[in-house]
Amino acid sequence: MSNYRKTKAQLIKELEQLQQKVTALEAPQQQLEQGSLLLLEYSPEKCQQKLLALHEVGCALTSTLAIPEVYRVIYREIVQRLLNAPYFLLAMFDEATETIFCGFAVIQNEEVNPEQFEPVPLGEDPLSETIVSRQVHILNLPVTGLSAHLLPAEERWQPRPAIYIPLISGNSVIGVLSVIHSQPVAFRNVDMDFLSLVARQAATAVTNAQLLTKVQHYAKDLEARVTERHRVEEALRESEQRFRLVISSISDHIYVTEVTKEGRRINLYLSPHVESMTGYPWERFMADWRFWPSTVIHPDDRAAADAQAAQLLQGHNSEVEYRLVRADSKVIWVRDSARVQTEGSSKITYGVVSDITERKRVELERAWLTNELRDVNQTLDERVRARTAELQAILDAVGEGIVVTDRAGVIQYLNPALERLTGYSEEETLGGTPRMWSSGRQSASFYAQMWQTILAGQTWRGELVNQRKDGTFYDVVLTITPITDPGGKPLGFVGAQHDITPFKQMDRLKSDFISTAAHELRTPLTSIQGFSEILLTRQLDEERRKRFLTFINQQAEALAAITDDLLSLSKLEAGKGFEATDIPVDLKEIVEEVLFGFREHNHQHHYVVSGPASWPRIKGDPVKLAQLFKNLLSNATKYSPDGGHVMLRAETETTYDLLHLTVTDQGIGMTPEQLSHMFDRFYRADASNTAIGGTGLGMSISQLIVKKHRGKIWVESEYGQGTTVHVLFPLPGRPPYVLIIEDEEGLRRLQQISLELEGFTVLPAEKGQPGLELAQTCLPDLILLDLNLPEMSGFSVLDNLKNNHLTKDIPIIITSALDQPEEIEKAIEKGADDYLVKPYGMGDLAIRINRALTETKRETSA
Amino acid sequence: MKKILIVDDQIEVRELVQVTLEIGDYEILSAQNGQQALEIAQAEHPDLILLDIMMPGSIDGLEVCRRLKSNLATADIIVVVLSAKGQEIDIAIGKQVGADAYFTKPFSPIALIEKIEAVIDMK
Repeated sequence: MSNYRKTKAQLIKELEQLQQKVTALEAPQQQLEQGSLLLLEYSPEKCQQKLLALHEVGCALTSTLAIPEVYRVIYREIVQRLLNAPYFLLAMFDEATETIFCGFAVIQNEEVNPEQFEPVPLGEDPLSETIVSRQVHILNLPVTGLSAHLLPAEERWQPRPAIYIPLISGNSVIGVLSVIHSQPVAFRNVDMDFLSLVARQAATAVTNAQLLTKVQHYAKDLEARVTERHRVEEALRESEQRFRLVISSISDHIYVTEVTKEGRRINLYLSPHVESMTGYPWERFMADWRFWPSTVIHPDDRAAADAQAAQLLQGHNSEVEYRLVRADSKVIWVRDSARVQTEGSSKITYGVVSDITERKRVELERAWLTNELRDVNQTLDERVRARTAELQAILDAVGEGIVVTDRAGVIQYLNPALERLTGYSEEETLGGTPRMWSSGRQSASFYAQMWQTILAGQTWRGELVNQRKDGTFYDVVLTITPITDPGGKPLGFVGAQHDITPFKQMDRLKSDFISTAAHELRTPLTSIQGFSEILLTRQLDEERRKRFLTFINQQAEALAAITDDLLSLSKLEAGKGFEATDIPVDLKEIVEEVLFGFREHNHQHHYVVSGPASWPRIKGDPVKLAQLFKNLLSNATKYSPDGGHVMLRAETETTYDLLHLTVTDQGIGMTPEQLSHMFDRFYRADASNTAIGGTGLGMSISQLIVKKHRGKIWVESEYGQGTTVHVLFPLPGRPPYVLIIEDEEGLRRLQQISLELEGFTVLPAEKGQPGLELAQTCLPDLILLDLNLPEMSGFSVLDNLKNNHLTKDIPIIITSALDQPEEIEKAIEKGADDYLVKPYGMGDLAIRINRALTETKRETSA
Repeated sequence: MKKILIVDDQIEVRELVQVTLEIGDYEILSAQNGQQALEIAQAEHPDLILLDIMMPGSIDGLEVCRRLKSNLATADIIVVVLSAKGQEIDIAIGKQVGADAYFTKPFSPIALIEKIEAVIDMK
């Protein structure tokens, strides 16, 4: 800036000097005007005339400084006034190029454009000679050189009187006045002197005019340049102001640093913000470039800053984030973005340092939060996983069948209980809908109401009948709970099926019983009421009267029988109604007595009794035993066709101290399904068949009676082939029987001998299957079961025993070498009464057996 | 003379109904199971059938009624159920299969005649 100012001052000074020069140049002319006395010559008159002319020429010449006007004055005052010549050429000479060109021209007294005369180099023509000799030439020759162009070409060969006057300014010839006459005239030497004087005056005027023009041009140019400088300066100032404004309005620190080839750094510019950013004064950074990297940059981040410097030195732009330690020890984060420009051998770095502490803080906070969130998520995931496993275990363990469906009812999850309940495997169920269990027993409106409830986000609960894979039906209490989003919209459903089939069956059996009982009671009542009314209201003959009375009597008896059955059952169930169980009873006598009654009423059937001549007596209740045979014979009679045989057979099985009785008919038999319900209370093989009356209580009552006599009852039947009912009674004095299922012979023998010594009778079996057969047919009082058996495992034998109604009540003691608690627990869970770990003492075994038997006895008599 | 078919598996009941109705001006027919009842109904086209429900065999009283009512030739026969099953549900089922009336056992013979006459009059 200061340079520009200086230049301007200089220029003004130069201009002043030039103006002084101009003034100095104007001075000789004044002198000339004042010193015209020098021209005084011979005749005072002439002299006066000439002086006057000279004065006038001088005045005219000084009246103007404009070049064309000076030329015109020279022509008017010298050529026209003094010489009166029609042709005039003011030739100018450029000393530097030695060229002659036209400054002013007049042809035939008419001013013409001087530019129509081509400049010519200095030559041998009169003009050139005048310039070189600096002498006035007067010639009368054909005109040559630049002046020749004043004349028409055809006249140039004619000699013409011409005068050539050099224009001398200072020491230089600046031009020539060339005047040509068309008429021959004579120029005198005196005239030549005068003309020389005038020419000198003219030359000075021309020079002055030329100088002035030059000065004016220069001044104008100078003025333009000064104006331009001003403009640029202004623009610069504005730009700089703007720049500073920008700099001050941003908080970033801006630097311009030169890095020399040698790696030396010079801070060319540092914005003032470096102070507010670092807390150190600006000057310290300007004074030493090392202050920034060695003091202000955080020691841990200097490596990063050094790496950036190395990058810049290689000419690569770089952006680095590092920390600064402020003067107040506060640490801030900055981002240093630098661009590098190579200028000659050095590099200029333009950098912006921005405070990113806040951004970093947010970043760090975000990173921390993210971490925290991840941790929380992880913990949550773990908890969810643990909870899920827990829930899974619960769901696996619960007895209720549970499904989880999506909103459309597509099954996404089910528990093992549901598989067991429906009979469909998990693979078959997943992806299906609960419609797969639909039994068709519920109406469409029932399901519509259910959907309406659960889609509204409410829990639905109700009873319904579903169908298993095998086609059988089951009753459930179904609870459907919607899984809802926060807005209460269902996302899916959890359905829990609680199997109430057993209760429903019980209910059905009861209501079936009530309706059957009512029917059975109404049937005899129909005859009793109807015939008695007929007897009372009609006149009947004796035969019909008797006949109707017989009907009434028979039906009254039937009514009594039903009433008896109901009472028996309720008493037996309550454990009452047994009298004198220790009285020895002759079963044969009882059977004959019962048969007498049957033969009386059922003439169509043949009743056959077989067996030994006398049957061993058993201890028991004769009335109940009579009821037992009535029931068995009644069934055999009811379910066999007229003319069929009903056989009752007795057999003493002395080996096991048992009395084995069988009642066989040739009747309709039973399907396996009917057989399995044989002993169910209120069950009748064909309930709709009223031709075969009954309460459905006979077999239940029979079973209860046999059980009370410590016996067993079971049925063998084939549909259409007839039925055989087996009854086993222990004979009086029968010792307790122990069935030993043990594959190790030595141990089995040892157990047998020691138990026999204790008064037990032992039934030995070395494998599971024969053991099961003995258990069913030989009425053991207790079973000793080894777990480690060949072919059928001990646990399998245990399951078989507990699933058979003939053996399920026999106490079982497990003997095993396995002493793990889980084995023992498993055995007890499966129904074993005790668990003896091998090896054990035989005395211990006897004690355990007696204890188990006593407990069983107590339970039975209770 | 109206023709009445008595269907019941129990001989005492058949006799009782017969005796009950003999004082009226009826021709009495009887069947002891469903199959027999359908055969007689087809052949004799009685005016009214007194029908027991629980009978042995594959065709019980309800089935007899259903078949009679779904056959154009027998649909006009008045079917009166006479059953020991007297619960509401039993009566509803009876009506459902097309029975014209449902009487329960035990019954009063005098009242039975009146009811039968009422049903016939209504038709």
